[in-house]
Amino acid sequence: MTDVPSHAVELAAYARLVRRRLAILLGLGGLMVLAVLADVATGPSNLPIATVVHGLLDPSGLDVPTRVILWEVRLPAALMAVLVGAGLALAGAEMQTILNNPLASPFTLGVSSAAAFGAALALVLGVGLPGIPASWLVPGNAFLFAFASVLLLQAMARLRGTGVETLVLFGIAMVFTFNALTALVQFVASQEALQQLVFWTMGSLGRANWSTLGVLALVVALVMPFSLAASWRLTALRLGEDRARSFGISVGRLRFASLLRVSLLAATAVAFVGTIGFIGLVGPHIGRLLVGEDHRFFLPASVLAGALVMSLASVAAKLIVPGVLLPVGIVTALIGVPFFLALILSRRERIG
Amino acid sequence: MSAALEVRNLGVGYGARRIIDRLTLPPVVPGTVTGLIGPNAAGKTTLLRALAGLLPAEGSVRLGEIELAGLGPAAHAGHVTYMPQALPQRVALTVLEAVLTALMSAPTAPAGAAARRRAMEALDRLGIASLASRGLDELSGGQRQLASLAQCLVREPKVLLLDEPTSALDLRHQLRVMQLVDEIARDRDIIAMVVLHDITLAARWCRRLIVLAEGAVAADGPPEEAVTPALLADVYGVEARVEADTRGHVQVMVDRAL
Ligand SMILES: Nc1ncnc2c1ncn2[C@@H]1O[C@H](COP(=O)(O)OP(=O)(O)OP(=O)(O)O)[C@@H](O)[C@H]1O
Ligand SMILES: [Mg+2]
Repeated sequence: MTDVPSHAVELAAYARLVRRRLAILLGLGGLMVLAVLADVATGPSNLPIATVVHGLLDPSGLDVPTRVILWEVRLPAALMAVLVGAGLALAGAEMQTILNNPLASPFTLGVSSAAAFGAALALVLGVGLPGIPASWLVPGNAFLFAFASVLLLQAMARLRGTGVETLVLFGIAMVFTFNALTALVQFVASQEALQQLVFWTMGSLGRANWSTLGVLALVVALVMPFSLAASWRLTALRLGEDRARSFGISVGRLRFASLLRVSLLAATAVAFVGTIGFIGLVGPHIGRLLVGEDHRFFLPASVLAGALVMSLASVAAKLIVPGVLLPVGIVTALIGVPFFLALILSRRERIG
Repeated sequence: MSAALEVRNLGVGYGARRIIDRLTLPPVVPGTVTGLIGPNAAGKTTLLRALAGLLPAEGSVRLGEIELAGLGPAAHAGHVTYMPQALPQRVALTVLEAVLTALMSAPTAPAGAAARRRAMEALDRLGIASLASRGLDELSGGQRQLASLAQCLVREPKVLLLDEPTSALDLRHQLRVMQLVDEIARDRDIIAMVVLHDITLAARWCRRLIVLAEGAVAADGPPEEAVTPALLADVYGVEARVEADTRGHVQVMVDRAL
């Protein structure tokens, strides 16, 4: 026995824990890549995986129709699924932390409802920002409203002090307000516009193309480093607001920066694919179950889990009714719930 | 000799409601433990949070030459560490991670390896090194309270403010924690202010007791002077005897509520 304990045992255990989490992240990433390949391969004309891999590595080797299907239809949609899943899950993960509420997701605070209202205005009344090309009118409007709703929320929270409960209550008020406004617009809408709107709110990856994909990829790539840079501070916030502040963290600023990131992610994702529920809620929960709440691992795990589930949902949307592409928004919950339940149940067993 | 903590004309409240008004304390000296006692809602937590810079306050809080009031959160936390009265919530973090977070989330974080070593040392001093890889979500209340204390100690502050650090602990751990706080105050020559409800425990470990009632100081001095039957009747509304035991420690025996 030495006089000064070296804690080699505990530190080795911690190093093992870190390695295990990295392995889980790698595993999730691998599964995600497989899911994307499967997503690209499935569709009305089935492409064998080998053709897919080949076509991705060497597009010139494909015949023209296959190349168009692969590169202009399947791949954008598959990548869109991944990015939307990643973006919404990251938004949800940050939200659950800063609001200290496991039920928080981009839906809870009315971000999606605001986006739907913006889309409704554009689809039904043709109202939108002047100077925006027609094809960007709907996503532009959806983004604008989603982003503005979060800024409004933040401004109202400022007025009343930064209590978390107040923020959640304002968010819920916002959900109901925008839902009512959307219903109002629907009420006056023509049959055709109404149909478009309903389809929009169900969420679809079919609208993806390389330019929308590029915008979303840019947003995710810009936001993610800031999220990761804040990961220790976010972890501290999970231990309680007073505690985090006594560590020297400016909680108000942390929360505001996080809300900005959340609104950018959620607004962009929702703008391009419509409202997609559940991912923003379940991605973070899967991440938490797998790697715990050290945000250095929790945030990436949530992102990967969200992307994976979304990708699987995209596959399922094509397979459930053969020959019909279901709106992916309908399928996310169907595919996500069993996945989620399995995880919860397997964890229960380990503890009990 | 490290700097003393001086509180002058401190005013704190929630919204329009004043809890503490123009509170002035004789300097709180480093090297020994100062106890803060008083009935529920006396303003103990409010005072500690104000000293920790978590509540906006008027007046002056000086640490030697440094005026703490008005410092930003990061600068403030460099001098003062506060352990909240509430236990940390059940989070999916291990005890070691929770303590690491206290170091790594600060604006001036040490390198990873040094932080891990310091975190383990803090756990070891509290006798909970064996809990290092247990999750906060599977610990008992007392174990979580010890983890919470470890988060404070690991930051090596100049002013240690502990809000009821022993409220969830068994007899042995209560003693162990108080003994440790006393040791740390002496070894590092820091200021330690501890809120306690157990007056006998407070009298045993604190060189000075500040009794707070309705936001004002009702008594202030060494335990044997500060704690009197008259004070207990006045502040707590109990009829009690205060006697020195065979070892000279103050013992409080409560006979009935008045
Ligand atoms: N967040 C708050 N908002 C409004 N009033 C508060 C708040 N926290 C405390 N108070 C009020 O401040 C007064 C002092 O409360 P404080 O928490 O400081 O008491 P305490 O001495 O720590 O009591 P206890 O021994 O019960 O912990 C009480 O009257 C309480 O109602
Ligand atoms: Mg208190």
